[in-house]
Amino acid sequence: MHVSDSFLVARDVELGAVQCKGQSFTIEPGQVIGLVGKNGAGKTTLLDGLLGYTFLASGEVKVFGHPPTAMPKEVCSQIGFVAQVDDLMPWLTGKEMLAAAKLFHTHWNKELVERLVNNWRVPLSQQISEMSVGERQKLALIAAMAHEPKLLVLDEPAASLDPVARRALIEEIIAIVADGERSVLLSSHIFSDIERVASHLWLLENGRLSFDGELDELKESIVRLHLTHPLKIADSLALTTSRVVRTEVSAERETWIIRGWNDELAAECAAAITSPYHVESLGLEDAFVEISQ
Amino acid sequence: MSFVADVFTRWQDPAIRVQRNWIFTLLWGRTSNQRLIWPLAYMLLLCGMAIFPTDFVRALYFPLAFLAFAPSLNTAALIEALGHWRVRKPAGAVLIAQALLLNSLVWSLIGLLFWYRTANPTVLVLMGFAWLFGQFMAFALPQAFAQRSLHPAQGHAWPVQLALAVLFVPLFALLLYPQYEIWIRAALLLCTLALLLGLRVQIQRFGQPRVMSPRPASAAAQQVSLSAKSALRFRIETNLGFALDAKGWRKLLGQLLLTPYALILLYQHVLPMPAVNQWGAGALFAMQTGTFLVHFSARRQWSNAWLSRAHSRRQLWWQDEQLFVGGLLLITGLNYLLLRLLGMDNGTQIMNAALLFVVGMAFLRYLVLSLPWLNLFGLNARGRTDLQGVGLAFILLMPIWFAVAWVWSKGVQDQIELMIISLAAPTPILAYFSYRYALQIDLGAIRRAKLS
Repeated sequence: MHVSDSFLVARDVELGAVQCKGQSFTIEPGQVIGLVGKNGAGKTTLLDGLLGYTFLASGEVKVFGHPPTAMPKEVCSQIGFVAQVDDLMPWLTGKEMLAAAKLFHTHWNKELVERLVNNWRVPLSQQISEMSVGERQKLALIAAMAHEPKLLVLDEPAASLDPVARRALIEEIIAIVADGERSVLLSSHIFSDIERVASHLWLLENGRLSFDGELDELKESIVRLHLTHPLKIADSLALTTSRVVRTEVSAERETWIIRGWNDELAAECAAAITSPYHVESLGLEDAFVEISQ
Repeated sequence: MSFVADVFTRWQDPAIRVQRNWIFTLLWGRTSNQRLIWPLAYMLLLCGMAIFPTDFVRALYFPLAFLAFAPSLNTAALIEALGHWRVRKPAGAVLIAQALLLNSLVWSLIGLLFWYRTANPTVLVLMGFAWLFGQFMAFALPQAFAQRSLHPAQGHAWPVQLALAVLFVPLFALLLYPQYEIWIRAALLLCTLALLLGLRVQIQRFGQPRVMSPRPASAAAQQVSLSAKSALRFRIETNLGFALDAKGWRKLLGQLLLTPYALILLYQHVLPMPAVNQWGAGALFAMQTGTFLVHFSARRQWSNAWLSRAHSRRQLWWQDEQLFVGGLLLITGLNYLLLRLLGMDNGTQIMNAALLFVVGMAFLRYLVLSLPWLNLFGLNARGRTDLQGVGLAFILLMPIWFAVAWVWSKGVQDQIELMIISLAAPTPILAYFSYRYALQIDLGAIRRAKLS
């Protein structure tokens, strides 16, 4: 994919806790990128820097070919953003809020808005200050999605949603990227949602993107290697042991958590380990927990 | 007359006395804190009015005395809350009347003391009218006040607004036509007597069970306008931080126009004080300073404007400044016309005050927004909250305020003109620096500041 087709291109981004010097990452059309990381890793800071809310300390970001702090109006209309906690105006009603959002966008999908409002049961006649946190979040999501932006950025959108609304949001995200022309950048701690919808993953660790690739690739690269005592190793396991991030030892077995599992390591283990062993694939949440410890 | 007779003959009735005394205490406040604070405030008010010099009494205690209006609105809501005590029975009406009588005697002490200290019986009549009118409205429209906040401005029923307007008619009549004070006082007395009769009817009517079953005032609040607002109106509301509906307009006009003008006219006509005979245009604009600056603090909404209503910080800044300058000139022009119309000062002073207000507000705004270590509008020049900045702002700005007030009070035209020029000269430079800071403002920090 040519860089100029990318929705977002970032290089050497440095901002607050985010120190991605020497790294570059992009958002391509049709991708759903899950942004995960521990609390305080810098996810929100990164999103703020990518969208122009905050100036970068160094590095370069281009959103639809423009620096995010000075984008033309037509470029801004291609972006939808929902912050971790809604940033709505409390004195407006839900309907007034949507009407105000519609004022500033040339394209507005009325049917989409009506469908989401009905499905999510957003009380449009109620003042925003009197809505619950979940209702406000739903309203913010509808306002961000109604003009059908090409790039939808969501910062912990489902944290305040009930399971039904969360499932509906995931389905909407899937529908958004189905045409292959729109993308979603989703920061979330709800790994089941990420697994269900994301095609790619950005893993933010210690300020850097320690992983930028397909979701399945990350899941396949982090495994638990369960070894049975007595351990019998016929040959060197240098390559495998160099990828061990943590071990758990009990009387009967030993478990190695390996990051970077691949065919080469599998072959080395098959050749060197003669006692029974078992390779366990991990779900995204388990994988994240293991590498975060 | 039997009801009136009952009120007095049954004063010592043991069955009524306990409930009456209890309701009397509740009339001070529904919570224990209110029942502690209001009597204390009342005692302080009485002591102050008895001890301090007459001019001080006129200046300070006259507006405070009108706080009698606030507790009087508590009555009907209180009695409605006590409905299970069967106060709706005929004996209950006697009980309520006794409690109200006791309450009125307590609050009338303020009026009597004011009359004694200032030799102004009109104020006593006015306060009595206000208290009775409040009671009348509380019982005639109990549903309008039956909500959490008993402030009349919270009521959504149009009769509440009409009631407020009616209350201010005699007040402004006294302010604008002091030469007819005797006639106005007589009219107020007649109205007061009529109110007494009307109140008696309303209390008995309130005792009927079907009266307090209307829809609550909160139901009226759900009838919201569903029409889309214009972009300009939306931006103005964003700047102000509240909706420009009926309540918003009341808030705006009340704070910017009604309160300052009422106070100045009071001190000029009803309570003339030689020591403050320069109160006029200067004092009026001074009273609007805080309100005006607070209502033009749209930076808190810059974070939710990004990517939707604005696509550059320059655009955000320019939209803000357009509204600020437009609002400043509009308010100044309106006040200039009103001051000239009401003759509250001479033409030169009015013009000086208007010019000083324009340059002063601009100077103050751009000074605070060009020095990131100051904070006066919730956010500093970098978009962050800073409590230390608030303290520094007051320390820095107080001397400027006193200097301006001192020069103004001297009344020397040359010095006033020099002061205006000295404030106007650095303003464009400060505006430029505030613009430069705005171009680098952290919108993410603004979002986080709003949530903190």
